[in-house]
Parts: sequence; structure tokens; C-alpha cells
Amino acid sequence: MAMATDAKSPGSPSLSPRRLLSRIGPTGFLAFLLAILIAVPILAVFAQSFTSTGDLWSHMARTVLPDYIANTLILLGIVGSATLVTGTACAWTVTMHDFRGRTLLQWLLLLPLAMPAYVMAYTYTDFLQFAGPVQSWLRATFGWRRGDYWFPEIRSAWGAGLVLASVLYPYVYVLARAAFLEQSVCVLEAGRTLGCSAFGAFRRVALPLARPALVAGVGYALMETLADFGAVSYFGIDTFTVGIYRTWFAVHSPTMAAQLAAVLLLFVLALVGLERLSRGRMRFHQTTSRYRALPAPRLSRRGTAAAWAVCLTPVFFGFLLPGAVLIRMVLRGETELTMARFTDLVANTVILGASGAALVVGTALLVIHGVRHDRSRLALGAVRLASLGYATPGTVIAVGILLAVGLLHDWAGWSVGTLLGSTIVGILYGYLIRFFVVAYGPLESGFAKIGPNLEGAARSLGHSPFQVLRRVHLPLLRPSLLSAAMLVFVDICKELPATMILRPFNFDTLAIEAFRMASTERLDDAALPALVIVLVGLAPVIYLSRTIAASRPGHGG
Amino acid sequence: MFARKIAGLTFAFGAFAAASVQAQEVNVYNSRHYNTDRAIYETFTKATGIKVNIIEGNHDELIQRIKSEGAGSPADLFITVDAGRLAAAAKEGLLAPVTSPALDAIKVPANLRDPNGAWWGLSTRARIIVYAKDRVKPEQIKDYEDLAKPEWKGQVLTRSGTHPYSLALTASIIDADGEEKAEAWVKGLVANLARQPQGGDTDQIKAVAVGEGDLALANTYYVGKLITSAKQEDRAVAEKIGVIFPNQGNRGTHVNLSGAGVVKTSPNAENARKLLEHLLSPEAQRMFADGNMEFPVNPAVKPHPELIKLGDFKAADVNAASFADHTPQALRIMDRAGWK
Amino acid sequence: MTEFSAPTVVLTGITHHYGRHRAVDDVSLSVSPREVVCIVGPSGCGKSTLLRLISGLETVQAGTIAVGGTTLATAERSLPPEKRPVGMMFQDFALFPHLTVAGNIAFGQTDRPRAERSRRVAELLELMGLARYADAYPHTLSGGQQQRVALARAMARDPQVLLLDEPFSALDEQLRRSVRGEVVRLIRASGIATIVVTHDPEEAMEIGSRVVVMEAGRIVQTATPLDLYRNPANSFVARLFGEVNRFEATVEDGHLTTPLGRFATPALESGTRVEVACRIEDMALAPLGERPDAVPVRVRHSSFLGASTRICLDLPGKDDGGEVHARLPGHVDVKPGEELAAVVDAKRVMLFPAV
Repeated sequence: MAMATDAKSPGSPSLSPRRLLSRIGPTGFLAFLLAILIAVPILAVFAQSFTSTGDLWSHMARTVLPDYIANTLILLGIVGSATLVTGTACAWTVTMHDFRGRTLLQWLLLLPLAMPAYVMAYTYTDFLQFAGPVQSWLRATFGWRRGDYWFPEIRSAWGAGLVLASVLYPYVYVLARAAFLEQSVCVLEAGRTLGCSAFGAFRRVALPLARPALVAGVGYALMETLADFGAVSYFGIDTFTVGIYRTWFAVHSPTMAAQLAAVLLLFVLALVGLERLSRGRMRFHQTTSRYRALPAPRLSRRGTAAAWAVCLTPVFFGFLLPGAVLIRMVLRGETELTMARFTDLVANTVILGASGAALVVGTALLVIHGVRHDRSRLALGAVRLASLGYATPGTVIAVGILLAVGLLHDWAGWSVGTLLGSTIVGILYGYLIRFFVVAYGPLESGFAKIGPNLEGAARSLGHSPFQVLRRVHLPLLRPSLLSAAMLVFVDICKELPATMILRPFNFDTLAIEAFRMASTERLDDAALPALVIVLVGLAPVIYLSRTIAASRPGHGG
Repeated sequence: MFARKIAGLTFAFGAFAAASVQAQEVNVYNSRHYNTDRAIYETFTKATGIKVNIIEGNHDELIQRIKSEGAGSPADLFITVDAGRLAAAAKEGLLAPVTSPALDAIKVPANLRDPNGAWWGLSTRARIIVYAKDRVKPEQIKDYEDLAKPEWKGQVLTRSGTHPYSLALTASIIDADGEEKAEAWVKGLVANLARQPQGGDTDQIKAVAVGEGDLALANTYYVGKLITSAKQEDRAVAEKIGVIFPNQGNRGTHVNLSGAGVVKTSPNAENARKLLEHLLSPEAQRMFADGNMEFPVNPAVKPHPELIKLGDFKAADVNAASFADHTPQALRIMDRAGWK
Repeated sequence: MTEFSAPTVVLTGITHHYGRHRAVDDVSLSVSPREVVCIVGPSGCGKSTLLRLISGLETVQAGTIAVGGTTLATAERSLPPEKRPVGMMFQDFALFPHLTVAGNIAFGQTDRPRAERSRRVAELLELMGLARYADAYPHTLSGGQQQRVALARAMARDPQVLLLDEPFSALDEQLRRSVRGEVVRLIRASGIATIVVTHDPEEAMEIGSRVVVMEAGRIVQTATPLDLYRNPANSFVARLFGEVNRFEATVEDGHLTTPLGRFATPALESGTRVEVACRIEDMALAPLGERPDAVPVRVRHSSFLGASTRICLDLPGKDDGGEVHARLPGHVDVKPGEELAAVVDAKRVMLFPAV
């Protein structure tokens, strides 16, 4: 008897591919299909890269490639460390201390999220360059001439890195704050009783506990940095992504551009792998289920001033200063925008943002539910591939879609010209790829907070997996869903390159209008649409801040 | 209202496709982002009743989109700021030659259009040298080649080498002087730079005005925009600078050419031809000239008076196809010489 | 007894792997109507997996599961959990935090008409003594109340089988005793065949009319609580249901010699190595010299536990002859170092094959 069962055991069931597929179930299979759909354009780019490009590689390797790599790494280093320090310090300050204006700062700190990086780039470069108002004023006031004085060069890796960091640190801030809020105060108090000072408890207990969240936040910032073209090209920093654009638009070698993109994505895959690794460990960081309100010590007057200084600095550089510069530009501009066109731009932007957010969040929900429900490795693998979209430059995604669409035409004879030309299906697909992970992240952590037995209970009470999703998960995930939707909405409002090339006829958005003006060097006229993008993004950002505050376990049960 | 719009955009495409068969319209894939262009389309619609649908984007992206859409592409007319890309598109067989008595009657100079009519030039801008009036005498510099002379060390301002304008200029130097001399020229130019290449053309002009360097490469379009600006500070910048049309003693000043071609798969080829005729008509050419500070290709239309004031000049022959061929070479040379 | 009526639940040859780990190994079990069966075993023995397999939360890899005469799952074909006439109660109760008590109980009854649904909810609330809390949210209730909500929710669909996974482990010690009796009463009153999983043998004996002992994925013994206590199938079961003194010994001429005395084992061949065990409560102590068959022992220390006294005794021998324990009812006054005689009733001695 025992022998007979023993003989069966080597064929452990997870090893046979047929069993694997039969075990995946409908929800997991749907998740797999959706994730693959998201990954298809990325795969198309990879596929395109398997063509020889002659000696172009060796030429680039001899000339510009080392620069691209060095610049990219320097930029990643600056953005990574600056967002980490700023985001963590601010989150710690406003979460663990009580002082006048704390609530105000809590949401002020999020505002830079609404600032598109390319808008930051052109306001800052215009403001701080040699011919800009600051240096002109200095020269006029002190009678200096060129070479008489030192002024930091804004068009440098440092300039670009710090400016990018000042709008990307909120990713770290948001996740760090959520992590600090979730930490049981008991753990911190245990640290104190073991002889740590308040700062010591932060450094030795809170910080290591928040590590997965911090890594994830920095990961988002780095992926945005990698994908960015608009801002870094304005700063004149030749990053890898600039290289991809250049190889395509100047060398006119789409193949070489695809090869560079593939290299970039492999690099990102490594980054994502690291990020996943750290998230995987997060489960071990589950603290007790007993929570007490965090004891935020009341700060002295001097402490309050210090807290304000810490938190207001990034807000100033990431929002207030560029906002003021933009307003100054608007006032100087002589915009030709008619009211009708302006309304149209805002409407289009909001339509894309809203429908895109609904699509991306809905898809992410189905995917994560499937992955979680069927615990399918196949689907999980597809999800990892799909997550690459966030680090992929918008243009590469657009090209990936166009390549995939081209293959569809070549193989099946389906032409999607009308579909692309007259509907927003193409752009929405682009957003799905680009921002999938933006929605997936918050939903994943939202799901993680729902005990696995709730699903089991609902199933044994006669509900199918999709009914469970609707009747149990959806209501419980509401805060996560909304924050995911808000993040995606804001990101879509700011998105430019994919929108540019995938949109239907006569469909301009605020971002496109800002780009049109900036590209024809009418910066002052670009300021108005840019400012409105920021305004459109503000409401969701403020809402986001409120949901985070309410997310504390035990609050709002 | 939003909901209706979404529904219309996402789901009603079938109806749209059916309707578009009879509707009088023309679909333009345009890599120019000027408001003037849109104003010109409006005059076209007013005159003919044909609706102009626009997608704007980078020309390479637009070419990719046309290719991917394949036989069912709605693209009718393809317009770019870089005639080299038009020539390349024509070479790939994406464009269909068009001619008509009306087009012939316009007498676009032969070097500003494809001999078969696969593409037609619309407007040009000259790549000129801007100098600081208070520090430079116009006699000191004559040709593009002079920018590489050691005497201008630390004084030359330019935008990124990757920009199509810079690439086209280097390609034109290759065309005129050969690769070797072109590489030496780029090296000399890079050695003379006042700072890393950065910003747009306007940034270069302003930098000259405030003394960051003495010489800059810029387009007539941007100079004209500053001269005619409503803003006092812009006009003040224009006051401080002078312009030189280079190479008047030999091949002439390098010009950038915007142009248009009818897409081979065009579903509204007839309308596309009409739009092309309209774009070359005196009315539209007037708008290119006055609204956008460009040089019209229609010989019957004069440039903007302020541009005429800059002086009469001899433009170099545009050989779009040969420039397109030289661009990859130009880029390699610039990579090696470090014109970032 | 119930063995003759058609069983409600029949498991045949269930084997289940997690990766390479065999969590359940060839388990067959049947549960009769109205019967409450308790599965007990240490954590990781596969008992919870068995419940998840019956409820459909895990897919069967080998074997079959039938409930009420219908096959629910085989390796080839498996009904999803929502299609099974099975109610399950989870260790952490898994109450829906976004629904009220009434909402939780009504959750599983979507296919019933509204009126019937609310009637059933009201009935269950009444039964569970929760009528006052219909509109309360779960987190405002005490642990015991939450438990009754979970039970009501599982019973609301009138399942043919009720599965309870460690139902009392989330409660604290004092609450557990009172709640346990209450829940058992409710379940028995409902007449639903029930399988309860627990790691607590005492709990198993209290709840189960029949107790199934599992170890390392296999069923070791299925019997009534008394049978398990008196006639355990092996040393593991014996130890599970109480503290035992254990010795190894070899049969010689139909007898075994142990530190606690000589016992006749006519059925065993000479030379057989066996494990001899006796429950510590089966030990009797007497003053020295009072009983001739007694073994002299010396008290090492004693602990008074209220209902009984547990005494640790040194066996005679060279330096350290080993120690044995005895549990005597009530308070027994002994001093460390006191010499006593220990006696074991031969009928209570258990023999197992030596490991």
C-alpha cells in the first residue's frame, strides 16, 4: 500500500505542463491573457530587435553609448538617493510628529505629483539658464559679465536629477507614509524600551520595517526616470532613452532603436526583479494585529520650524517655485487659445484620464484577482513582463503597439487604421501598458490586507470567483481602487509621447498643446496648458492624500 | 457631454467608418506643430467644404503609423518639417506622385519638389548665423565653415547635434565639402562652443544677446518671431543681434524645407490633391510667410517684410534626397566629434 | 450505532501534495448523518488540508469525495466550492468586515427569495442569541459573538456537511470552554453532519462522537474518545490523549520486566522488543511496604494543580534509575525525598511495538 503511493509521488503534479494548464482555472487564465495582451507590444519590440544593424552597434559603442550608460546611471543615482532621502524624511516628519500645520503639509507634500516632469524641465531651464531671469538679474544688479561669477549649470545631470527628484519623491513619500502608518506602535515602543532614542527607533526599527515600501517607491521613481524623454532631453542629458529616440528619429533605424529599448528593458527587468524580491519579503514584516494610535510627540516651536523647513523644501522646488514661474509665463504669454478650444483640451484630457483610469484599474483588478485566486505562476510571469511598461518610454510603447498592429495587418489582413484614427482605443491600450503597474501596486497591497479565508468563506457560501470579486473584494478594496485610479488619472493627464502618436484625428489634450507650443519655442504660451494640467491633477492628488490618512488600520474600520 | 464623447470615440467607430466613405474630408499626418497650419486648413475647409482631420507627431512615428495601418490607413497627406524624410518616404514607396495643371501653374522651383511629384515643398527657412552687434563685425564671418576657425574659441552657441536642423546642416556640409572636411569642421565647431549644446534656437539667440557667446546658429523663423514679438523684451533681444546669411560667395545659405506628399494608400486622394494645391496657393503661402515667418515656395508670394529687411540672399540648392542619404553619415561624424 | 445508515460524507483514497510535500496520504473516511466527527492531530498533519479539499478550496489530486451520495470531486472532475452542499467555518471566522451581522448571514443565500432569506437570517439570529446585533458590524462584537455569526453564516445555506476549522483557537481559554459547549449543542441540534478539525485532544474528545487521529497526512486511528484513551493504536495516540510513562523492554518467557514491575505477556514471543506505557493517572502510590507487588520510589517534587497533584518520582537503581510521573486526584501531601511504593494495574498497561 505504502509502496504503491510512493511510486506515484515523483510525478509531483505541478511539473506537468498539461496539469499546469488544467489547474490554472478561468480567472487565472483570464489574468494570463490580459497580462499577455499588455505584454504583446513589448514583445513586439523585442522581436523587432533580432535583426542585424550592421556596424551601428560598434559605432555607437565607440562614440555615444558609454555616455548614455554613464549619464543614465548618474541620473538614476541622483534621483534614487534624492527621492529616498526626501520622501522618507518628509513621511517620518509628518507621520510621527505633531505640530502646527502638519495636516496641511501632509497633502502639500503630494502636490508635485501633479507636475509633469517635462514642464518642470522647461520652467527650470528657462528660469535658471544664462539668459534666464535669475542670472540676468544677477548680472544687471552686480554688473557681472560672463565668466565673472559661478552659477550652477541647470542643464547638467545634477540639475536634471534634482529637478526630476523634486516631482518624483512623492512616490517614496506616499509608500513610506503608508508603511509608517501600518507599523504597530508596539514595535517602536519595544525599540524604545530596549534603549533606542526616538531617532534610534526610527533608524533601527521603523526604517528596516519600511524597507520594502521604500524600495518600491524608489523603484517607481527610477522607472519614471528611465522612461522619461521629454525632461532629460530638455536638460540636454543624453540618457539611454534619449539614445533610443535619437537612433530612431535621427539615425532612422527603428531596429537599432528596438535593440536599445530591449537592452533598457532587460535592465529594468533586473530592477523589477530586485523590487519583487524585496516585496516578496514584505510578508515577513507583518506586525501584530494590535494597533494603537501612533503617539506623535508635540514638537516645540523650534522643532516645528525645523519640520516645516524639511517638508516645505521639496514642496517649494517641486511645486511652488515652478508653479509661480508658470504663472509668470502665463501672464507674459499671448495665447491664441480660444475658449472653445481650451474647453475641448480640458475635456479630452479628462476623458482620457477617466476612461484610462477605469480601464487600467479594472484590468489590474482582474489580473491580480486571477493571479491571487489561481496562484498561477504562468499568469504571474506574464504580469512581470507586463510591469515592464512603466519603465518603457511612451514612444517605444506606441511603436510596440504599431508594430503589433502592423503584424495583425500582415498576417490576418486586418487594418486598424480606422480604429486608431477615429477612436481612443489605441491610446487607451497604450495607457494600459504604460500604467498597468501604477494600478497593480496599490491593488496588490490592498489585496494583501484581505485575509485569504474571506475568499474561501465566500466561495463555500455559494459564490463563484467573479462574484467573490464583486461582492467581497470590490467593497473592501474601495480605498485601494480609488487611489490606484487617482494615480493613473494624474499620470495619464501628464502623459505625452504615447498620446501624441496613438490618438485619433483632431484629438488634442492639454499635454499635447503644451508640447506644441514648447516645440515651436513659444514657452510662455505653453505655460497655460501646462498649468491647467497641474490644476486638473490637483483634485485627485488631494483626494489621494485623504485616503492615505484614512488607511491607518483600525481607523474607519 | 463627456459620456457622449467617449461613446462616440470608442464604440461608434463602425458608424464613423461607414459615414466616412461619402463624407468630404481629408486626413493629414503632420509633423509640424504650428497654429498657422491649422489656420490654413480652416481656410481650405471654408473654401471647399472638405473637412481636414489632423494627427500631429514626429515624422518617423507618423511613417511607422502609416506602415502599420497598412492598406487600410486613413492617411491622405503626409507633411513634415524635414524634406529629407519625405524623400525617404518616397523612396520606400509610401507616397504616390501627384501632378495637376494647378500644381504646375504654381511653378515651385525644381529643387523644392520631387521631379515626379511624390512630394512638394511648402516653405523654407534659412539656417543663418546670429551675431552680437556690439562685439562682432559682420565682415568677420562669411561662411558656415568660418564657425570652425580657432579665432571663435569659446564663442559659438548651438542647439543639440541630434536636432534635425543640426543634422541637416552637417549633411549639407558633407554634400558640399566631403566627409573628411565635414568632420574637421564639426571638430572645429565643437572646440569653439561657448557651452554644451542645449535649448532651442530662441535660446541661442537670447544667449548671444546677453553675452553668453558671440555667434549662434539659428533659423530665420525664430529671428523673425523675436523681431515681430509683442513683448518688449523679445524685441530688445532682436535689437542686440545681427544676422549673416552664410556662404553667399559660393553655394548659398542652407535652407530647411517643409513639404507634403500624398500617401499611396490615400482613401481621399482627390481631396488630398486639392489640399496640396491649396497649401501652395498664394492665399496659404501668404499665411506661411506672414503668420509663420517662413519663406514661401510659391514665387508669386513675397516673404514677410521683416525677413526681407534682413537682406536678400542666395539659398543653396536643396537636394532633399541627397541630404537624406547623408544624414546617417552626418550623425556618425557628429558622434565622433562630440557634437552632442 | 450509526454505521448502518448511508454515510453523508465519503472520502476515498485522498492523497494531496503541496509541491513535493505530501500533506494528505491515502485518507479514507466516512461521516454518517447527524454525526459529529473530530479530526485531531498536531499542526501540519494534513487535517486542515482535508477540510479545504472537502469544501473545494483545494483541488483533489487523487481519490474521490462524495457528499450525500453525489460525487463532488475526483482527480479528473471537481465541483467548484460554490456548487458544493458544504458549509465551512474558518479559524479566524473570516467575517466580511464591510457587511453587518445580518449581511454576513444573508451572504450565501442569494438564490433564495428575499422574504425567505430574511426569515432564515432572523431565525438563525434568534437561534444564536444574536437578534440584538443584526445591524452591528463584526469588529464591534466579542470573540464568542463573532464565532456564532460565523457558525450561523455557514449554516444559513442548510449544507449537508458543516466543516469547522480550529473553531475555538481564536478565543481565549476561559471563553473557549463556555463557547465550546454552546456550539456543540447548536450543531447537534441542527442535525447536520459535521467535521471539526482541532489540534487540542481534549477538545476533540469533548466534541466528537467519533475522533479521527491524523499524523503526517495519514489516519492513525478512528474511534470513540473512550476507545482512543483506553486502546490507542500506537504510542503517538497514547501520548496525544494524556501523559504516559514509557519504557522499552524485551519479552522473556512470556514476561516483561520494567522498572515498574513484571507483567505477563503470554501472546508474545521471547525476544520481542516492545514499548511499555502506562498513563500517569493509572499509577497508584502507597506507603512503603504496604503492597508486595509495589516498586519503591522516592519523591523528587510535586505540583498541586487543583483537581489533581502531579508527582515526579525517582526510580530505584544505580545512580539515576530514571524518573516516572504519577497524577493523583485532589491534593496529596508528599515531601521531596519521601520514600513511597508505586503500583500499576497490569490491565492498564499498554504495549506497542518498539520503534
